[in-house]
Amino acid sequence: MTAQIKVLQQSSFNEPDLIDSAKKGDKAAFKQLYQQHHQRVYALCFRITGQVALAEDATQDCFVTLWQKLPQFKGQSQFTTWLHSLSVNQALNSLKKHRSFWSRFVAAETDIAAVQDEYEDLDKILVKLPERARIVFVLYALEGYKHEEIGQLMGIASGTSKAQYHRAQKLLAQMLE
Amino acid sequence: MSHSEDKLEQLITKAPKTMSPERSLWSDIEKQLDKPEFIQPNHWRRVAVASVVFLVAVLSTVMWDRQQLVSIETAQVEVSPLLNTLNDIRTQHQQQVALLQQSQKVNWQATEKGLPLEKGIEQLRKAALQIFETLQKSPNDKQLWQLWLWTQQRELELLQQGQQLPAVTQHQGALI
Repeated sequence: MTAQIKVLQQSSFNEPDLIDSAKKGDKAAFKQLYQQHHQRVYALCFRITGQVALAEDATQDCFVTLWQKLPQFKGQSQFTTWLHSLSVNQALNSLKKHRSFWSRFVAAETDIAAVQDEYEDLDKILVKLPERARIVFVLYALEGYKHEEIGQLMGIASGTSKAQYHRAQKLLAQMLE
Repeated sequence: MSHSEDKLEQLITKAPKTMSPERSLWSDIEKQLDKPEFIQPNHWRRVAVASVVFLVAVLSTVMWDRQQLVSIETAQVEVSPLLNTLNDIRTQHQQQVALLQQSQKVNWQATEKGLPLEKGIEQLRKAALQIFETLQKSPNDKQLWQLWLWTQQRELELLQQGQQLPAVTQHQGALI
């Protein structure tokens, strides 16, 4: 608990100043922003992409995009909300960019054994889900998105998002039996 | 609720919000920070580039033809009625553009897809201006007229297509 409070305090420490400095091109300030947020962004990217290598690429892409788009951040919304939205979009884009032609037909090669050793319970079984069902499940159940928002992000109908969510839920429940 | 569904609910509740990557990602990120922003080549960019190349090619041909004719023709310097028509059409087009911009519902120029489209429109406008200036000197050139009208029509089409681009929503999902 004390550790969690410490992390929270660190994450809120001087953030507006860091953002202002980073906007002016201060890489040291941007590095501090990275250090505060990269674990959250990585978790999001890992759950969306389902693969360690892709999650690393997506996280890097997120922060490079953040650096480029930071001057557009006017502080109307919370930085964390803005970064979250940017990260989800970037993770989905990275997934699209790296997805090979054949991967649409063949399941992605995920080293499930390695993932099982490395990650917590839910993440061990999330990677076994089909891609679209996994993304919908992550965004809806873990990130609090609405089906309409997921539909817009993924270019699918909200009804399809609901169906994918129920499919994911059913598959995960079967894995836990 | 079955046992497995119950267990799934528990797993969702206790799922960590953060994860540590297996290796440090900062050094790779830092290397990419100095690179200029990468704009993905897309359909609109290709259309814009193709349009400009086409316009330059046609303009060059037309200009060359005109130079050949200059020595033979005695230019009619008097104000032609065509020049009035030229100016009328230009004014009409500018009004249409202004009307479209007034009825603009979303700031599509700020979107990722809007940027190349905006560049395409800008290039079309430059080309249209060049053609207009050439037409003022030689208003009887039929091919040049057709080209000028095409650039104006294309500009209106691109503006209309820009308005159909999706708007970017800012507030989605949870906090980090």
